[in-house]
Amino acid sequence: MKNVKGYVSFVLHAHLPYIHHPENENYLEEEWLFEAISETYIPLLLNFKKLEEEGVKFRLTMTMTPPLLNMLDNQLLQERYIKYLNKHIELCEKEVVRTKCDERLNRLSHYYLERYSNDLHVFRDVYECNIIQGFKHFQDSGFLEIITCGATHGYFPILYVNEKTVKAQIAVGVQTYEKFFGRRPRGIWLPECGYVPEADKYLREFGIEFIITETHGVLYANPTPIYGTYAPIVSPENIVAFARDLESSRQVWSSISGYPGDFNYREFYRDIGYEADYEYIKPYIASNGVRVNTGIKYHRITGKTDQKDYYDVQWAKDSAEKQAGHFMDCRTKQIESLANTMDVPPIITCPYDAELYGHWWYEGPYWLYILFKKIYYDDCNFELITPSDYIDRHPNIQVSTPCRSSWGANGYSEVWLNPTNDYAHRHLHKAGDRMCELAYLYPNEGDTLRRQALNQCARELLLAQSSDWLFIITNGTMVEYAHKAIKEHIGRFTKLYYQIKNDKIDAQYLLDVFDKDDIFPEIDYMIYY
Amino acid sequence: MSENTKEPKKEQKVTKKTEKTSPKDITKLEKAQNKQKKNHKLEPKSIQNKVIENIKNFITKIMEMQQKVKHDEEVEKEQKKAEENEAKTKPKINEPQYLLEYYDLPFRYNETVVKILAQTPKKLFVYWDVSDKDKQTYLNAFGEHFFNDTYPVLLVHNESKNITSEIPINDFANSWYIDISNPRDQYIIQLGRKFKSHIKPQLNPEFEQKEIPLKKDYLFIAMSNKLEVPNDHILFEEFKPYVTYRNVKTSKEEIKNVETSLYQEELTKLYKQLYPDERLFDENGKFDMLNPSSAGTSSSIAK
Repeated sequence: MKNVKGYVSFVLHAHLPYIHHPENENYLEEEWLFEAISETYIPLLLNFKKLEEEGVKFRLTMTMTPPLLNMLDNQLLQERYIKYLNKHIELCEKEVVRTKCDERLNRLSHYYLERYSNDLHVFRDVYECNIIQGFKHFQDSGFLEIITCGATHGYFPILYVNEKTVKAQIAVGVQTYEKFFGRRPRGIWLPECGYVPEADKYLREFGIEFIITETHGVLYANPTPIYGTYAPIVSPENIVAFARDLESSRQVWSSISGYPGDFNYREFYRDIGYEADYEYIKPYIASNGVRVNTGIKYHRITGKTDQKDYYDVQWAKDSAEKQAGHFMDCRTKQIESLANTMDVPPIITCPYDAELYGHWWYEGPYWLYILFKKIYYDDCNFELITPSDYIDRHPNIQVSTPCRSSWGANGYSEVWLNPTNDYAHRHLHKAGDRMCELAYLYPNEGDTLRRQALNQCARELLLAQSSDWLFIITNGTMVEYAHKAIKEHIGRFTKLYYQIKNDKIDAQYLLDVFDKDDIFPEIDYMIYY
Repeated sequence: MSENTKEPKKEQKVTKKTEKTSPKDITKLEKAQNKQKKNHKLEPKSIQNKVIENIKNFITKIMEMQQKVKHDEEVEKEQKKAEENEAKTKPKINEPQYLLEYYDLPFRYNETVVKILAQTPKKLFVYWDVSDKDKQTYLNAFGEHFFNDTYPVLLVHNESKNITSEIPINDFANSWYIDISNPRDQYIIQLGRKFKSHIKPQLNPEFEQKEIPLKKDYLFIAMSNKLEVPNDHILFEEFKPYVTYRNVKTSKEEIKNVETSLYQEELTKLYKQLYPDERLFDENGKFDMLNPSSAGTSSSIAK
């Protein structure tokens, strides 16, 4: 019998922006989804499955954002993912032949062949091309709590100058969740952990009980929380805030001292897409001939050297097991010390981008598997818990208003508002105002073409608001795509806005635009009324 | 010589291994399954697909109706020609045409507006525009040299402390970053124009004073949204020895008197116990904000 003195709460935030190009198969950005399915989502599901089969009880929270759900449910993208896998399998088969003279490399090429073949089997035969049901299964069986997010990951601290646009982000986020999971979400991942107190009333209106904030979202709250981030706080509007723990975050996240930097782990930046003979690899890289990652990587981090050794699956697993033990020991120590100081059981909240596990940190899903197993079997003083479980067990919470904050660099809005991307905000605000104007001018439109156009306007506005475009511009990679996305969604919105107001809706144009941006098919533009 | 004899052995070994672990078999199986699946069309599970198809069908139906009306209005001859042409050039309706799209963001929306956002607790971002109509009104009211005789200013008003500072801007800018010194305070910004020191404002008699908000040498143009700037430190200095707790299930609240040991300075000590790594925050309660999640290597695939 464990002597439970506190809790650890893992929150994995799974999100990708909505990328959908029926008109052209050659958008590299569409592969973000395929990489995430192969490297993160399927590995997570398989490790959860293993735990379930082994009788290991675990609790974990995951966000599945509305754009991600819409993409995972999209038939065209499902078909394209299968194509992607078949191409990878073909490449792996060639690799098995190419590497036959090097035993270690050949073993790895077999490993990748097996892995991608298994992905195809799991995706097509087990989950019938829709892995959402996999995650739903773990939610329904009590292992996982899935929470929602803003409709398109719109960043509230910038959108809230027009509060209705924030309300719509929340409303559509909740509606999408209900459709896919058949129940109401209890929690929401605020896009980029961007907190503004003005959004609380809408969160409450849509039944949201808790949010996750960056560390200072709670530490800088008013009044000061007496137990820092180790107990949640509740806002005057009754929204409970759990904040990210510093110590555990750094152990995993830090690019210098974090676990993913272990020398035995797979080296992300050595990929045969960049290293193989050009003519050989050409059919498997970008259609325009630009070298890109293929996901087939043969080296381990090795050390601070360019002379990388071959990756060894077993060595990597050994490191993951060692680190899982270290993580558990650290939390045990942390909880032991906290429990002596506090009069409620402490909670250590560990939120991460889900894509860190598997995509960036290849061994991450296995690390989680080992960690959860250790926590279940070993003698430690804490339990895994979700924020909802904590609220149910310890509903007496200190009242305090969280600090306006985000989890971006420096903790506020610099990532999404700086000289590289500030040009976008006036357009996002203007489109938001215009959407409200349309809802006001044409309320409760019947089953007409105008209704479809109004709904499409709402889709375009939401897509334009995605925080990812602003982030990508700041980050400086794939910038052109992000600029184009803002221009196109605002452009389509504006064109439809004038067509509606001039009563000259072009049905063919509307059909074209809907075909491309068919996210949230059941949206009702009246959310802006 | 010995190496030559080893070579085929190696190959044999690989082949044997392949047979044992059977990834090729898996692939063969997958290929066979693929062929099977191709025969009966792959039907991925999508719960939304039906809704999407319904919307497309609806729009198509409207298009067909529109075309019918159009055709009825045309002369029979023209109609025949048009139909022939359509059949040749136009794709089947109900299918997206993927017309080439090109959009650019408008330089301005020709409206009078001022909006502020908080970039950090110490920096505001403000953008603005003045409509052509309003500009014309000023020209009518003050004469054709109005824009030469005046310069634009931003009045940054700290509502919490009732302090106003003036920032001269220029007519080529439409946005600005403003350093401020009071986190947590409420700010509002006015856009206006000031007459140059040697110019005396002269209002056209046709304009009533009440229509044109001129105060001495300052003309008010527009007011921004109100904004509260984020906090930037732990509020140790404001901590009171009682804390409100709420049962979030019942909404019942109770005020707990915190032991004196937690009062102010003691709370700082408690925080140092909670966060033993003191490098994480200084004596003002400021944490190291360089979050590893987004300041370092990008965290998400799209990023």
